[in-house]
Amino acid sequence: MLETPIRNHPTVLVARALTLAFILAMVSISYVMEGLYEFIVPMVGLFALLMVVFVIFWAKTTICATDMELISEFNFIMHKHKAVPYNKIASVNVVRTLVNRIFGTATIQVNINSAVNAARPEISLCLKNDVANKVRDELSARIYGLNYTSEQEYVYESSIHLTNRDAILHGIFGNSSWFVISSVFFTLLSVVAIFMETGEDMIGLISTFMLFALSFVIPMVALILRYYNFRVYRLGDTIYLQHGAIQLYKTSFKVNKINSVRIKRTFFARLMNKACLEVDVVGINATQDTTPVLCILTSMDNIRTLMDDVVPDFIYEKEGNRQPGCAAIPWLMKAFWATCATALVYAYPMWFLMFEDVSVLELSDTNLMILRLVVLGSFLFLAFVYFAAAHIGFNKNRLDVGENMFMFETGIVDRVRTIMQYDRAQIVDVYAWPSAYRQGLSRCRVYMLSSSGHSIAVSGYYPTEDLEVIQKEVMERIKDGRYDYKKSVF
Amino acid sequence: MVQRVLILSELQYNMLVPDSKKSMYVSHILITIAILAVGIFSGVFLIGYFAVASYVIFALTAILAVFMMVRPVLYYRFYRYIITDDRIDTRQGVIIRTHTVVPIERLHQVEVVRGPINAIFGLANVSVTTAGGVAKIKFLENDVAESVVNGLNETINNIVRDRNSDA
Repeated sequence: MLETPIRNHPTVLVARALTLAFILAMVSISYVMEGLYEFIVPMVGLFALLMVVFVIFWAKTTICATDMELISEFNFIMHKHKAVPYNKIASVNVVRTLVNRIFGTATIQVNINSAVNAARPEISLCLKNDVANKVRDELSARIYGLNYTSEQEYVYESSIHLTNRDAILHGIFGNSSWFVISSVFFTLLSVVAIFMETGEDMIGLISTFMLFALSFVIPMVALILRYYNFRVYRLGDTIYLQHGAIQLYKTSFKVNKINSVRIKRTFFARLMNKACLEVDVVGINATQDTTPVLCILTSMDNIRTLMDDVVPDFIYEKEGNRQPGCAAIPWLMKAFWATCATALVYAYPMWFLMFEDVSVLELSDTNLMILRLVVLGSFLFLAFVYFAAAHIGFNKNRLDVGENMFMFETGIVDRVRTIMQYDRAQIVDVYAWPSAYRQGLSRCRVYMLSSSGHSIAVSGYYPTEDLEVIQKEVMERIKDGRYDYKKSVF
Repeated sequence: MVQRVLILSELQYNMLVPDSKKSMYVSHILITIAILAVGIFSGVFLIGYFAVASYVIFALTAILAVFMMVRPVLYYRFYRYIITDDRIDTRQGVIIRTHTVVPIERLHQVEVVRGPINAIFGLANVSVTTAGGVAKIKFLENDVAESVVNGLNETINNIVRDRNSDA
């Protein structure tokens, strides 16, 4: 299908024109509001100039495929030849944006195994939807060796049954608990403000609402729309993800591209006995999937079923070991130093309220007393939170070192169980602060290649020699040949 | 050249060369001057408005300046490294002690970085890049740094050659 070089569908020009027009309109709007209409002409000129550049790039960029590689060429003044061998391709995604849908097109994104350009696809190709699906099938066949067609996608059922209610729950409670709590807090604040503010103050209220919408509502809605109609299944050694309400995401990658699996249980998810499954996959385009989600928020039973079906190699049965008793000391020291730092911040306001002339505040004695109690109370509350967090951190962290994999379970409010393969660890650090190394304890930090460049997993406090086992095991596997570079993505 | 070594467990770790302290002192003095300038300026500026804050700034500046002057000796004292045929292993840290292991098999890129202050003392850093991040071996003598890089490159090339012949 791609034997002869082809150009992107002109839809890409429409998308770029719309984006450019939006940016320039935003820049111009302040000038127009001040009556400086003469700024419109240079803006229109800039728009036309950039569009000419976009058209040249579009017209002079071609893409074709040979038996061995995918080739992108640009030939105007300078010559750029980019060849991507099929064996280096990590994933082929099809994305349908709103513009794509309007014009009946789709964008194929080809990603390779690299941390350097993990944030954007190596090659993007916009084609009519049916052609794009055929090209994707052809590429999938060459990369994954599957005789598989897009039409078949609709035959394969998702490995587990996920409803759009799950997508909505994921959009709200799949976010970190702090995000959810602050959303609720600001919602309540806005509601209170509605009842208290009147007249001119309504402008301030509208601004608060806008800020609230931009900060919380839009990301939640975006997440719901992104994971709407979520489907996941495995064919051979390839995993397929398909989701999206407005923009359609179709992602596929080989199982051996997975570096680690994370079972994420936020505080609210734990209340509902739910979890979501994330994977670090090399080569998934991070701009499209900043947190690669293998399964949206669903019951733990569903997660287990999905792992059995899709990533059985990453099933880790062991609960893991608790931190030793002496690990309480570094946790408590951490809480102590956090309390000291907070005390420093609170020192002056407390000093001012207790000993300085506070007449400038124009408060009655009762209100002043309330203010003092609020400031003191908030300090004590924060100190309590630090020590409670230390208590939870000490009790809930887990570590286990297995034969082929090892596991860290971390988190205070939101808990994450990270299951990693030794063969995917790039750098392993064992480090300790004085409060830890005096007890013979350290933490372990593992650097891995991920879709967004690199990812780091950090353990709790464990005996240094227990953590150095991970370093030794990584090296031993390379030495004795258990590490098979052919299975590696690097 | 005499290699200064220290035996920790079964491995003989190399220590840094004494010139590394001089290089650190020069860079730390420059940083300390900048810290003192900012600290004293902001402290003096605030003293008329917010005396407590300016005393805190003076105290923090003094602590930081003393630490910067002591750090080279401690850094030198605690820094160890070893390069075997299969890994790069460093132990470092004054307050936070870190033991880093980088398998040579994972290396993508190796480079020598010679900053202006290091260059005065004939020193260089070796920076090794893996798919998951970058690790450094600091304050090596120029010829040692070059031989480390050549050695690592040769090892990486051998690995690639072995794999190609396997294929």
